[in-house]
Amino acid sequence: MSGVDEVALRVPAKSDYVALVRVVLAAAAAIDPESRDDRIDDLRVAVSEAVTNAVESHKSAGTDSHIEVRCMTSGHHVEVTVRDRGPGFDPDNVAELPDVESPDRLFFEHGLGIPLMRRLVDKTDIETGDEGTLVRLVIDTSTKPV
Amino acid sequence: MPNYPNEMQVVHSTDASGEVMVLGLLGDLDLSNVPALRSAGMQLLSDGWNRIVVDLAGVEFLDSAGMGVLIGLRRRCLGADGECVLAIPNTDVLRILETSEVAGLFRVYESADSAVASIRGAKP
Repeated sequence: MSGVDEVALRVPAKSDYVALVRVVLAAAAAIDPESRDDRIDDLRVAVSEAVTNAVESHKSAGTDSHIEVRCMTSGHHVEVTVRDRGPGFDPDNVAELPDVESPDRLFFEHGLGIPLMRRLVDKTDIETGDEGTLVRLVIDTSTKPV
Repeated sequence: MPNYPNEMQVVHSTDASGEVMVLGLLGDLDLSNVPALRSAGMQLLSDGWNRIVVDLAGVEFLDSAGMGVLIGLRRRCLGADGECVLAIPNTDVLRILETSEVAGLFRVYESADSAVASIRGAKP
């Protein structure tokens, strides 16, 4: 496809690299002069969530494989993929968060990342299986946040 | 542009009355800094502090890993008959907290001073 710029990263599955990935990808997405700062912020957080999940997935599996991240930009259309080699998970079996008014909500320190990703970007796809998980984030950085 | 490398600093200070501990954070709050923040919070509780203001004025980036630690800290403060509130002058950080709905789990103030005043001398 013409007119698409690609940035690819292959990073160790360590928490210290989460910041590196989000900084690089946000900078790549911000090259487009029409990109909005708040949408770049949204992308930065969504990428951090996806890479954090990948790091934790590798940690739980005890694998030292790298995490592969790609960022394709075409103007203000940005697509990011994050691939891990962890054990995968059942996206239909993720614990539902209690209502924010419920006292029980304070017991949910985890499980916030996927719902947040879905709210921050225009489209979130998750393919997961025994050989790992692929998260695809799509965002138009020129439009207002929802 | 966020800082890299991503090392968070934790600064403790007490208010004039000595009733409230202010936990000031500097840096990005993500997975890499979760152990440091969790440890700092647990130490405060262990030392008997149950009224805590987490001052996010020096935080430019926050994701769900960091939010999880803040949630746990508030739960533990409430369990110790105390309170944990947030000071967030940074509108970008506040917007992410609101988008995640986590802002609704806290009392949020624009400054550390107003946050301290909200829990000083009053049983939560």
